[in-house]
Amino acid sequence: MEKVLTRYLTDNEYASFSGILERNGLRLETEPEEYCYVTENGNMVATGALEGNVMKYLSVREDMRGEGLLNTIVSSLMERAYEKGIYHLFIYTKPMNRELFISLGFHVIYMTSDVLFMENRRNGLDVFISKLIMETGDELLKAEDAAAIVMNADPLTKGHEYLIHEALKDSDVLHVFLLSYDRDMYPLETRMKMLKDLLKDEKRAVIHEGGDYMISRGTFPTYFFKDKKDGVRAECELDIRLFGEKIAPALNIKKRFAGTEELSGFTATYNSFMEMILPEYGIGFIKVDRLRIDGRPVSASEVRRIVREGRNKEAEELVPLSTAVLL
Amino acid sequence: MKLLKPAAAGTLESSDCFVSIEPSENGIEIDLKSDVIRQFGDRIREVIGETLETLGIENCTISVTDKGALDCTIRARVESAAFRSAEIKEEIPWEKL
Repeated sequence: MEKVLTRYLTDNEYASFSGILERNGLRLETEPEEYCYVTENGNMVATGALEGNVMKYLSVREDMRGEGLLNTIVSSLMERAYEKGIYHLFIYTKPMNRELFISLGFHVIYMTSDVLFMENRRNGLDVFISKLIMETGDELLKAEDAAAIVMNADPLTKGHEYLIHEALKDSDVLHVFLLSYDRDMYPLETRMKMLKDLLKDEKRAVIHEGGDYMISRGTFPTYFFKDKKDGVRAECELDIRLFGEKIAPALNIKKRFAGTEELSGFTATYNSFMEMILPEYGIGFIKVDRLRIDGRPVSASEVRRIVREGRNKEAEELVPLSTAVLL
Repeated sequence: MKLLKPAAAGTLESSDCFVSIEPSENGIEIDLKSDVIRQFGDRIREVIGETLETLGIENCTISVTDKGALDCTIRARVESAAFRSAEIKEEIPWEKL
């Protein structure tokens, strides 16, 4: 038996790696930074990978289960992660694997009917929630009517500014969660600066980093769902239930605001799930009509496209001054 | 010994244990998972506690996932995680251990 830890897979390795996944009903759909596999007599029998702080693609060939191969993979990847300075690790898996991963030292963060979200720290979510409470401060925590917005702000546009102001009109305190995962153009640091500059005089708004418990698209694996649509549904449900059941009550959040999404796609789907699920937790979902400038809806993706084409003057029309200087 | 950063040692293979340790300020907090926790849980905690005491560590969060390791293995894994955390690579005080 031989264990291999590598950053790149050769064509042959890739074929075997994805072959094992496929036989287990999974698919290799992203490019992790580290791959790990075990071979027996020259044949690959177990796989795993590390992508950011998420362990993915853990699978063992059917006839080789019960030999502790997963243990080998998980501990190699954990060791590698620690070497890289990544100490807080996450796994998304099927609920049926709960005991298995508990025995490997993982702790349950949240479980829905089809996804189990786990981490290698015992009280990671509690630590995150304490941080949110601290950031809010005693005074604002007392507010009766707190609301929340979750955004990428890539970049922060006049659309976001409008949504924030609409939400502030209708609530005492507004929590703005900025998703941490860098998806497209601007890194977290820049996006955070845009948001802070915009809200620097607004005493009723609190900015939080979404961290590891606000799941951005990009970290959630849909590979263990045969149908991609089921993967998206599972992602939305996990994220919204975790927010509704654990995060919102800690900050007394009673409303969640989002802009309308005219195009179909992830955000529209996500919104429709919020509308369906949030009321279960006593949280109202409020859709605000998207801001239009010259008749066209303002969107961050549109601004990115314009900036990419080098038409900065035009882009500046669509963003607050505080963002314009950072484009 | 002063812990500086999170660090880990060991594996999850049979007869071994995976140890991760990190600095903290609230005394010693042990998070133990073991396949044999009913039989040996108390003894494993004792070994972890003794090892930390020998190393002069008074504050840390330590998580141990045990796969049936012997006392000497647990001790060795805790020690090497601690040395990595304290960034001690040379002049390991062997005679004290």
